[in-house]
Amino acid sequence: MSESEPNANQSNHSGSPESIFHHARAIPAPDRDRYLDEACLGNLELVAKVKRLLKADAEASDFLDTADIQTATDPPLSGMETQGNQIGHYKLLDKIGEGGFGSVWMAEQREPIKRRVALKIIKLGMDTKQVIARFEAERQALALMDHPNIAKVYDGGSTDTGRPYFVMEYIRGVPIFEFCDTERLNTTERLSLFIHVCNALQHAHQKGIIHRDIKPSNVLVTLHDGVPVPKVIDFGIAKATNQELTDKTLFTQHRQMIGTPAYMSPEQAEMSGLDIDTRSDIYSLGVLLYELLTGTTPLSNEDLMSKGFAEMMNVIRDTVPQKPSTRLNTLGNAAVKTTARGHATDSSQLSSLMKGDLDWIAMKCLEKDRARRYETANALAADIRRHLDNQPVEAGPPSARYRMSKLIKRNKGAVAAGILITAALIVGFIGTTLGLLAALDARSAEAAQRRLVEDRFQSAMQYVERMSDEVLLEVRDMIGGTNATESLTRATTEFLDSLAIESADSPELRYLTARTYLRQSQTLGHVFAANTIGDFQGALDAAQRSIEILKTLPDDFPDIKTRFETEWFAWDAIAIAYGMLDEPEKSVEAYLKLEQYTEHIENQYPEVLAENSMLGLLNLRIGHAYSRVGQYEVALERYQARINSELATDLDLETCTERQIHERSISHVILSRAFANVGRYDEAFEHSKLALDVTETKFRRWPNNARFARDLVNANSRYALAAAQIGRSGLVEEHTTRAIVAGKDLVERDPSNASFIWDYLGSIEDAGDAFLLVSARGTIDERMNSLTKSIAYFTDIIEFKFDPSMTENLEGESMNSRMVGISEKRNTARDSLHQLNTSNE
Amino acid sequence: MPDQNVTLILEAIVNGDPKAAEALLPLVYAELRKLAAAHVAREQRGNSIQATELVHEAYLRLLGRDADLAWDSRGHFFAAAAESMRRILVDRARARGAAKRGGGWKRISLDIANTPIAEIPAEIIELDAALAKLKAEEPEKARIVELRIFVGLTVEQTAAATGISSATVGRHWTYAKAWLYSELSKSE
Repeated sequence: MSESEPNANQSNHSGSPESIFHHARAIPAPDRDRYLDEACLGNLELVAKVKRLLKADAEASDFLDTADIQTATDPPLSGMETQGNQIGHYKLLDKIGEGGFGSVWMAEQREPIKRRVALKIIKLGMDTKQVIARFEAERQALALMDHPNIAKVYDGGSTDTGRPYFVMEYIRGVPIFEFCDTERLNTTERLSLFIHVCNALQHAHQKGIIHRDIKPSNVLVTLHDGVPVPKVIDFGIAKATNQELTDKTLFTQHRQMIGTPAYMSPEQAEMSGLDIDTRSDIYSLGVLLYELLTGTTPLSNEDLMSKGFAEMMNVIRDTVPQKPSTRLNTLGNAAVKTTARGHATDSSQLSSLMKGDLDWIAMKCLEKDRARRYETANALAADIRRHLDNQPVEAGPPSARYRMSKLIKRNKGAVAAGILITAALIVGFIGTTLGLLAALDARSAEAAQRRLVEDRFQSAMQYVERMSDEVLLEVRDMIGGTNATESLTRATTEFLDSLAIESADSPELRYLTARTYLRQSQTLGHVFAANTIGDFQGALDAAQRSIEILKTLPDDFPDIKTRFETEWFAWDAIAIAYGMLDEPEKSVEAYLKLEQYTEHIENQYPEVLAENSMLGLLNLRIGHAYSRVGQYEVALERYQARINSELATDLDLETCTERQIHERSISHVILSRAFANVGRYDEAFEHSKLALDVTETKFRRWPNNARFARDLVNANSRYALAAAQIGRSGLVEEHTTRAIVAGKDLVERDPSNASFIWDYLGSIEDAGDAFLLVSARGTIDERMNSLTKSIAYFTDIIEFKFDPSMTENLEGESMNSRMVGISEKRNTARDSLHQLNTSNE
Repeated sequence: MPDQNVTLILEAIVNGDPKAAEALLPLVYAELRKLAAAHVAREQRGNSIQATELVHEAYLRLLGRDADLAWDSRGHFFAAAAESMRRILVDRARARGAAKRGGGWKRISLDIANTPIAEIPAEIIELDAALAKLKAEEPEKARIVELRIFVGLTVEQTAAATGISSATVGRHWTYAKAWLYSELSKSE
């Protein structure tokens, strides 16, 4: 010790105030006055000073807390609660979070009900009484909240150490970002989750509760039966722990910075607590949306935090952030790639995805002037829904071009018509050019001039082709695209055909015409396409016309590869049409011809086939044709030849294309059916399960993809029937229902799509079959129940009301013989039911 | 290389160059600011940073592999850190608007060193003003308060950093605390 102890006895002159203070401190309080008088030698000023210090010392027990901290790096004092502690009715089980605010515990409540809860203990330093009082004030309103996306707030109180705590519904979830990124949700899925968050806020706002602290860590995502459900937590807590600055007396109280700067609305940054309303939450929702889309907050936290507090608030109030798409463009490459990967897309797509609607929606939420934000969380959700449905969003500028683009997306049919007009103009132009060419030829004009005209002709042709190609590609796989596709192809073929007859000497034009015929045929009756009209005779005619035209061209025109593809699909279309026209033998015949042609090409030009999967596809189709004529063993062989090689390669569900998924699903369904046809039911079941797995995951990602929607119907349907075939009756009910519901949905969305009706009726028939199979087992009651269902399903098909526009096309032999089969099966079921009834009596 | 600089400066301090200590301060200050900004940003993700951690991280970063330099240099570093930290925290609080009177300072505790720096109470400004007065009267005690409050050192660590015995640090601390409390009560 570097100093000597001050000694009262030796103080013949007064000591330093410090030494007197220390000494007096060591003396019991009642004796202090006497000591001070002595020690200060009557220096009243000194006595007063030391007394003041002593008084301060006595009062200062909490001030600059003397409870010494162990080591400088020890955890903060918030770690005072430990596992097993009892707080109120709650027993702490596990610490699940810790932050600047305090800590969160998973706790167990025993009374009045036993349940798991989350207990949030606010750290010392706040006025517990006020916190609790504010909480109590809002408690009634909090109790009124009842929403699947809101974590309930049960209770609040103070711990023995005087810290406020809140009791909430325990959510087993992860913060929304973590969820989106680990599950690699695409933008649509993120938006769907976000809509739920909006709904939660809407509910709260209607009950008069403002959250005030919406941020990613307050939105947890939990899985309910595999479906992600966002839950907004901490309602009422920001308000309770916030110092209301309206009350001047509170102004200097320990003021915490409430909220997270990046998520704080400008009016919150004003720190005038008076003026916070629901639109403040809308702002924070906008930040959340922005971050979900871009992976960054509108105002960067780094940036905000590098500034002083006042400047930070200025930035929040005044700086208009970049639009999400711009942000993505300005982010470093690596950062965007990470974000894009999170969104299950690539970086170039991501920015263009944001442009327009999503930019506008996010920016509308982030308006500094809250009067210009969305009025309600509902309005925000509605706008996002509009975006998802390709409707014009409220947030968008009302420009004609924007509304037009929306119109185009919604009305592919009308647009197709528009394109036809353009196409007609171009075709007219082609005609003129051809005439010009002929004239030039006649006058044996200069070669250079002729070449110029030829070039122009070529580019015009390419334009027409691209035009119809691109529109078709856009429209073809869309739910609701049937009529647009059909009218587009039909009109184009007619036009080109008339032109081709006039100008028989242009091989390019003839080839283009053949291709357009092929497309028309596929639209009319290609049952494997997403959208078909169901006019199988028309399909057959068009495909045959296509082959006819192709035959007038040299074998390798325009080049061997594209020629092969065109011709191949033309034969394929013919075979399919025959199959649908209930001439399965002719179908097999057409396929065998196609096989010869394919083998010929394989021998002559192996490189062409190497690039195509035609051989495999051929096996698939031939397998199908053989099934139709009842040669199931051969069919299975063919299927396996194709599919086993395909299935041998592992499909990476994350990176593969939509088409690959679709094909994989179909392959499994087909194999399953083929196995079932030859009585190998276990294998059939296995493949149906695989089909279902592949499809269900992907359908959720691309809910507007007609192929997946069809796959979903077929996979469920197959799975249900396969389950019935191996006696797993428990699965039948659920999956027949799922198939039928999905099928019905498709038919309702596009009643003119024969493919959808096909699938739908197929799923009902499978359901009838499945219950017929199930009815072989169980108690009499169960069996009768199954039979009743089976009969009802068959009746549904027989009495199905076709869209009037379709009946003409569907009233073929194929449909008739199918109906006969169904009606026979219904009779079987009725007979069995009758027998059971009589034996029961 | 900042590391180099710091080492050189510390050597200069050890060798008794009076200007060296002044040179250390801006380095520590800049480093702490940078750290604070980065950490506060991270804090938004629920990872809170306390003044204590900041200082220790800055210490490790600035001194690098020389982190186990003599206690003397360590002491100088912490003195510079305390001064820097004091400025950062007070600036932060001040930027939030002038504090009014009301006794909020009573609730200021040593916990400040362990409070996420984003949440430093505004009342620290009043404390700082009182501390400045103390410094005029009792510079040694004020330094101890700074080390304890802004760097979060324990009594023992403060003793090591200042070269004063733990017992004396304890006594100084008790006195300074009472002094500050009485000073702050006066102005209330």
